[in-house]
Amino acid sequence: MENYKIKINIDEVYRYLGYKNQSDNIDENIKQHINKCAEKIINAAVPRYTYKIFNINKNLNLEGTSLGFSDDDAKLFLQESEKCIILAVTIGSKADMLIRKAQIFDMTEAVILDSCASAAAESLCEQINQTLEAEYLKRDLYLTDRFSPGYGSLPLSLQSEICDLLSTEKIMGLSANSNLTLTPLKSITAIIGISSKPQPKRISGCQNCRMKETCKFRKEGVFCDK
Amino acid sequence: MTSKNINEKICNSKLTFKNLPQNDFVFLDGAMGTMLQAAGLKLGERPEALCITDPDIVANVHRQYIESGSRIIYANTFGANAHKLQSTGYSVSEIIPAAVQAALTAAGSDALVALDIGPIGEMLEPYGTLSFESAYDIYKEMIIAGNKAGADLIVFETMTDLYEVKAGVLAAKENCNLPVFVTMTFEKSGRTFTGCTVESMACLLEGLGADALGINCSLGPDEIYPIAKRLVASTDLPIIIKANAGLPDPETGEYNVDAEMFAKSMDQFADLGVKYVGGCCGTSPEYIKAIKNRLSGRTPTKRSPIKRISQICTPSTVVPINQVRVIGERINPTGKKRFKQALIEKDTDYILNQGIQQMEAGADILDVNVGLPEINEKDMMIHVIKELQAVVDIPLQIDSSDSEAIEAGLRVCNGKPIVNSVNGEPEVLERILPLVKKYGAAVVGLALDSNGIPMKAEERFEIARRIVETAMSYGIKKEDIFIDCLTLTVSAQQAEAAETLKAVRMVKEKLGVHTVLGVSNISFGLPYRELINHSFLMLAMGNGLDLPIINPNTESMMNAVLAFNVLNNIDKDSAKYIEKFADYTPPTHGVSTGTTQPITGNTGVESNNSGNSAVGALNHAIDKGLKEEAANSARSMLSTLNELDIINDYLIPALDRVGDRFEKGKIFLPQLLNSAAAASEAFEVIKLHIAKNGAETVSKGKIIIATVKGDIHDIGKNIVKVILENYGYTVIDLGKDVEPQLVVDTAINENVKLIGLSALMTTTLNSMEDTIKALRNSGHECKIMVGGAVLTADYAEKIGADYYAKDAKESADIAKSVLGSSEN
Repeated sequence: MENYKIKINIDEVYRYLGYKNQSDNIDENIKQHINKCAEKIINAAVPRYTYKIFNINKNLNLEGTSLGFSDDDAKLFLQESEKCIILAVTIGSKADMLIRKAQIFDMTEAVILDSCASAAAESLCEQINQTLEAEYLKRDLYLTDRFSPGYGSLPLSLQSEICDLLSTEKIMGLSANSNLTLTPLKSITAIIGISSKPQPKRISGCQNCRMKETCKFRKEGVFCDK
Repeated sequence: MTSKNINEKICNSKLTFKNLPQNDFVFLDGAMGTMLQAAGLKLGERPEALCITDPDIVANVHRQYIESGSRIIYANTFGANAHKLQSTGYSVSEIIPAAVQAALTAAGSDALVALDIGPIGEMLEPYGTLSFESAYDIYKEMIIAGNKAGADLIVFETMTDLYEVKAGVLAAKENCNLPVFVTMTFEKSGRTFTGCTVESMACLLEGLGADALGINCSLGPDEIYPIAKRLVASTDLPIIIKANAGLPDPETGEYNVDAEMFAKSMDQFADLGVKYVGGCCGTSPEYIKAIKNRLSGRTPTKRSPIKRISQICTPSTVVPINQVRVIGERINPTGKKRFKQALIEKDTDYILNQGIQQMEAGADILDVNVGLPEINEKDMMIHVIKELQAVVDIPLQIDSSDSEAIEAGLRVCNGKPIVNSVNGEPEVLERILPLVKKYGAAVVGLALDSNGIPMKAEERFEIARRIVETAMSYGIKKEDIFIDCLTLTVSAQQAEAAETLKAVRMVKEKLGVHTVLGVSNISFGLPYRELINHSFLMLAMGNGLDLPIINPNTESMMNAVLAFNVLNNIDKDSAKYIEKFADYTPPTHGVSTGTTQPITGNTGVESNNSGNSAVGALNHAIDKGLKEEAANSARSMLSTLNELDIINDYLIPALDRVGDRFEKGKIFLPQLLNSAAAASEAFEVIKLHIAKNGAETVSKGKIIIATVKGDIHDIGKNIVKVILENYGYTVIDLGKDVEPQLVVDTAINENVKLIGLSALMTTTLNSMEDTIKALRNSGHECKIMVGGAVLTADYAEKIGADYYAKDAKESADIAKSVLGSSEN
């Protein structure tokens, strides 16, 4: 398994915090605070991940497992895929503790740490995705967009099924509670299709996103796909 | 035992735990899950259900292991808990008897059957939502079922959270008499996923009465070896090793250590004196057979007893009392008005802040005293300990005279704490010592009895001796007993200071136990108390004080410990001392420091004490989020203005301006919060001023806020809290994962007219709706505002909320319109 380093995309942190871009009118001390928090998260985060590859049958069931997809979005994403990657990543529980602690004495710090930790988990997922994409490309195979329980019509209940399937509790200390929250909090489970045909970007624009109605970026005219 | 059982035992000489070979290996079994998968179990399906649908498959796996040499087999009950079985449609009381029966049948008289217990599958507080008490109940159900079904022992395995293990071991100890084994899963770093070390595991579980400890899963034998070595050095209990067959290939899932290699690497564990040996993921009966063959003809190396030292711990930190360790005294209402107020108002954040500050100032241990006649001490003890251990990772000292509060604290404490305290009164010893023993804690004995504090060192020593002897008669180890020889106030009883020091020396030298002293008492009634405290601390450490209870925020006291460690050859090469003081420059004299600190920093405002420029400074400080400046300005303003005028005419307008800029998108959340934090410092100054003058607290009305049941995302709720408090509202923060009934009860009992509910997950919106319904059904008149990432105004209306707050600023606007902006 590759050793991934935790990276934090500072632009993304600014975006999570509500800034449109870094050139927004931001106090120098807040900029410094953000950089300091990013460093704290990088030091506290322990990247862990696991994935497995499954064959997909006609009914979108994963062969040899009890898991399958029946929702429209999974059908759309996986329509040309013969296999798929089921992936789980976490940056560990130490980051949660840092955020929890900061909430007692400095909410500004807590909010910034929280954004940094989200960006860290996202970046870890992205790094793994890119490595896999490059590896499969060598075999003339193509990956679909990465999608997660809760996106579009994909039910959140997949969260715990994926944890069971990958034994994430044993392998990386990750579990889903009865309300389908992943703990540690800064964790992601995801599905990526593998196809012999080049795959279009399907997550572009907001129509596929469950956050569409409430997304604060969207309200401010900021879009994830830029 | 029935006569039938006795007959069976005589006829078949049935194996029992007691007649397992004392000085030889006991072979355990290998993997169950992968064996069942090979027999057709699908990935993602719960293996425990097979015990009912196809028990023969399970029994067959057991038989194969027994034929390979296993003397203890683990029943197929790893995930047979109420949480994990939810998806199967079977209950614990169906699965466990079936699983244990399948194992017993296979075992006959050749092997013992362990009730195998794994993690519940849901993270416990503070990482997740599962409470310690619920975890206990979940395990209790399994243990009662397993015991009844005839299991010979209880095994917890693959555990990563020591708190969950504690819940399990207590459940086992309190509901059956079977031996309890615990194995945890470590990463190469020697820590579990939640940060628990092998040393902490041994420190806590020895005290709780586990019968054997070990390591399983996650790593291959060679990777486990260095961790096993550390475990062997941390406990005298028998050791269990169940390694994986190396590491799996992520693509194929194949493990890379074959049976022969696996068996070969068992030699090193035999040399360590490991008694119980088996396998985990990727192993099979072939592996067990290979181990048995490899180890036949030898026995485990005899282990020599470890050197016993005094130590206490959290899951991630063991604190050995091998040098002076500072106990922080600040979490204690005695003589502290502000702290009392926090306890009465359930202002947990204030208390937690005291904990964090002391830890950051270098305290090794935190004393926790929350006793106040006005409150339920037991409930508060549970609450504060749980909250505290979510944010600090140093051990605690549970400080109370109420045995119920002590037991409640001991139960929920995640680690090995100190109990403060017992004294020489037989009745007190009888009541408290069994608790100390049961929960495996350390204990402080005060050298006093029903006749009070003896004046002479010899008399205090005599009481100390009695306490040590009595504690040891309860099975408490000598290294877990600390003696407090008691500090008397030197201004009142001058001759006795020397007696205390003499008693410390006698206890240390003659009884050979560690000593505790509350140092600060010494200086009551004297000017420049810090000097007396500092000097007494130095003398006491020189006489053998190990555990001073002091205020770690006082730098001179912590520096005294640093200096003592240099002079006493503890701080090797003065490394720590140099690290702290390398750049030290003595303070320059001749600069006058007034009673109020001058306004410093780039306030852009002239620094003086006059009220008007302080107003400008306050505005500037809040705009820019400068905490110290805000506090200083408020302090200056208090000399000319009254508290309420400052709040209404200056603080709130300043906040409004900031809120306005936030609304218009000119500033963003971090700046808003920085400003709020600055305003909060100013508020704190005003609150202290009011507390000192004994006036009523200023409040514009009470608001309850809570993150709803099932949701642990509380950052949004906490942002709202900060803003509302700044506007002068009294916020009753019920925290996260809050039961609807608690919201209703609090609303009624405290007569609260505005309730704020937060939810971040689509799955917890139902809880929000339930909470609103419960409030409406109670008939209590109140307005409800809701917020959170997944909410919309439409949805808020649909579930019956009165207001939707899109952000923290808006929640303050709602509060203004519901409660008004003048004080109640």
